[in-house]
Amino acid sequence: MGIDLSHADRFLVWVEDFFRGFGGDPEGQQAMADALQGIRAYWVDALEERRRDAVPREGDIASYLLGAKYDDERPLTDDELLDMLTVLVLAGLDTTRAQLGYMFRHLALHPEHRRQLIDEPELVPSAVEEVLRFYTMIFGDGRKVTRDVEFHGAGLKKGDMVYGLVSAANRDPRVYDRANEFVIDRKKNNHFGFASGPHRCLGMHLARREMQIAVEEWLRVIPDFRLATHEVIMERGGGAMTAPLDMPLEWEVAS
Amino acid sequence: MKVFIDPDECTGHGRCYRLAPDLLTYDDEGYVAIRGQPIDVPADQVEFAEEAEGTCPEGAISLIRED
Repeated sequence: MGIDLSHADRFLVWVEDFFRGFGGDPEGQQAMADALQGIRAYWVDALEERRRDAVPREGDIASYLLGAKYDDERPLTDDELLDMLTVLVLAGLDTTRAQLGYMFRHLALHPEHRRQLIDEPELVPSAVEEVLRFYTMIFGDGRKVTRDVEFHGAGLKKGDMVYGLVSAANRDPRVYDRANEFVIDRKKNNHFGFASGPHRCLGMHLARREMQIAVEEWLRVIPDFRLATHEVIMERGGGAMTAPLDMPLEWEVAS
Repeated sequence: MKVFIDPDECTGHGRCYRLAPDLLTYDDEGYVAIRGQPIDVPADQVEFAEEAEGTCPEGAISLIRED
């Protein structure tokens, strides 16, 4: 996306500090505020560096956004640019890692699914979709009501904010056969793991690809593994998301 | 049978053309390439068209059955 890979370590710390802040303790909230400040300051500098460019830099999202127009009418404001770049960092780094955690926990607990993916690698894409449906880590999301409407008896006014619990929709028995089962080759899988509408996940194609490659490469080298703990896996989260704090795995090494 | 992609609803999830690669293709931005006009479904693609319809989170895909 146009930033120096050697800066990645800084982003990882910021993102971890940010999401741990959802826990609510004052110390965590201070770290969260500092992380947010760090990310924004990084982008302030990056934007400043790119403003002077005569042409946009190839493959560089900040550079591209500097030249972008809102509804073809006006350039983006500095606040909009910073918000977008900051959300991109927060949304891009933590989500895939969390979703991978749930995927590997599932595979650690289900040898029959590991075996199936090794024998039939063409099932990997549908397995990834089913992970997103069954273990939806962004489990809810807000949307703004665009017109007055009555929804299942509830009157909603234009401008109201509503909260959609997408993880419940993803297990709606009216929509899915065997809704509470992990069906590895499920085809008609219109889940909301990446939400829907104009604000659906911008990074979903990358996220899917990352998950598919992760599971393929992992199973090629480590076909059998298990959870390395009998303790409950602790999760952190807020009003919209959940992520395992860690996912200890173990396997036999052939000598 | 024909399949129709609503151009106002498609946001480019890409699940339909993964399930039905011989029926639906995509443009450079990830949307279904042909939107807003019915696409003929060959007999051997009916099953895939039905899967594509069922996999769209936007409800952008409809099937037109001719009897």
